[in-house]
Amino acid sequence: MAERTAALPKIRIRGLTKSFGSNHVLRGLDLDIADAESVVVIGGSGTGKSVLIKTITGLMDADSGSVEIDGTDVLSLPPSERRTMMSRFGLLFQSGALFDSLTVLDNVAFGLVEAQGIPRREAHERAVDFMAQVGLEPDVGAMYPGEISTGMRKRAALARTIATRPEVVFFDEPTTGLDPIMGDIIDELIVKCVEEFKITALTITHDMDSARRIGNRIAMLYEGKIIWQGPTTEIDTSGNPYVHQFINGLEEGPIELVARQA
Amino acid sequence: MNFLAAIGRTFLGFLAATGRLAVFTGITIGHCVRPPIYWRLLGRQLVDIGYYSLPVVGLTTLFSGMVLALQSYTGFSRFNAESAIATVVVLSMTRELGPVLAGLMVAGRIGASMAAEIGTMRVTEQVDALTTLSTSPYKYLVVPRVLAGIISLPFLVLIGDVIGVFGGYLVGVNKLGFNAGSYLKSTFDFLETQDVVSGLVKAAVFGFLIALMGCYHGYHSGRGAQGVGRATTNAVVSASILILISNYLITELFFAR
Repeated sequence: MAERTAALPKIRIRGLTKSFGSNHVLRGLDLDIADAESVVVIGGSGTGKSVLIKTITGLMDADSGSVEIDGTDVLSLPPSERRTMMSRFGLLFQSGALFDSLTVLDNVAFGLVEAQGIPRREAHERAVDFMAQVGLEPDVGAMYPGEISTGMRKRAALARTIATRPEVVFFDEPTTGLDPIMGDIIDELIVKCVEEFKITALTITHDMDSARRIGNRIAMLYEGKIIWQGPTTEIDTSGNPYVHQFINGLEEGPIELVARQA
Repeated sequence: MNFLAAIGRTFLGFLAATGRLAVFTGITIGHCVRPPIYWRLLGRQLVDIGYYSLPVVGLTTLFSGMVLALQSYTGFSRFNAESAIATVVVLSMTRELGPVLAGLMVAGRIGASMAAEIGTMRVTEQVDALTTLSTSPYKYLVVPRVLAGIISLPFLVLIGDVIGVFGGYLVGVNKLGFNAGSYLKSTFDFLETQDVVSGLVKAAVFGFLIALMGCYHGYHSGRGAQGVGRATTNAVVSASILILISNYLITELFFAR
């Protein structure tokens, strides 16, 4: 039994499908993510990367398939148990999705107060610590999201995501909209958080520099399925023409051919 | 054939929208009667809906009461019934004009703002962020607004009734030459508890409908600025129509013989 538990992936996705009318976005996707592993899913725009994260986190209902966390299929759980399971997840949104009406400090402390029931004052003290970990000065806490830069918003959102100490964190295009320097900083912060808190991470991005920095393993999503996956160090020698074309940003190749045929 | 298909599609769309609204309403009511309630947010909404709507409701009812007295005088003087003006003003204000005018004004002011705020939160993924932080968007966003609507509107209408009657009094005494004492006596002589209570019940129902429509359309807002704009318009229009329909139904319930 102990052996089985050790071998059990933290996240096990099997046959996940999701369609919007006649648009079949996910077509039986399979993916395993080990405990404390950082997997990056790459793929072009509109290939269903965000849909993948939203179906796993329950923000969207999957049409079929299973998503097991520690062996429990979250998609078949009743809503109350599913909510409890989801409290073990964190999600860093592409836009940050900070609450406009709350200060940065209240945003970072939000999950501590609302989800974990920690008294407001104590939650604020902890929030200041998490802000420091992502390089935000305490005085930023009094500001509203509309008053700070995109990079600072991303940092604040990251602090809010890790503040509840989730076991699994999903990063949705973490470097989109950031300049290369800020992108590097956010990537480093993500790596630091994943290593420090032993988080299992699933990141989706089409930024290959970011993917190489964040991921232990990379998987490529194409036409609703994972068409290749392997260690980050092996992606350049994958031998897969789709991967080769995507990571090198080539105009010619099977991806363009299929798009043209479509 | 295309024409029939279009009718069918429209009808199915209507049924789907009705179903969505029914589910939304059911979930909202379920959350309203189950703890926890976010008291801080409820307080903030009470201030937003109740306190900040006072000027607009006050002005509307004041001038409506004044106009009502003036119009009634010109009409009633044709058959020597001027003495009934005070009674007409107070009954009209408490039973109909107070709740309906306050409801429509608040629908325009608050319904639109709720739809815009929640719609923007939907578009910018803040509603999804609430879910990922183990917080029900219904509990956090919808329930405080709906409860505040139900609580605020009766108070607004009560104050609006008083201001409206005062408007009639101002015109009656200062412009039409009524005796102040006899005007007030006529005002209260024929006023019954049921007149005021029916208006307050209407107000509570209108408050519920305004907040529900604002939240529903915001929650189901489409993508982008256009989606939020459409949600705002739909919230105000649907709340206004529901106010007028429910006004008739409640009136029938209270006063039909």
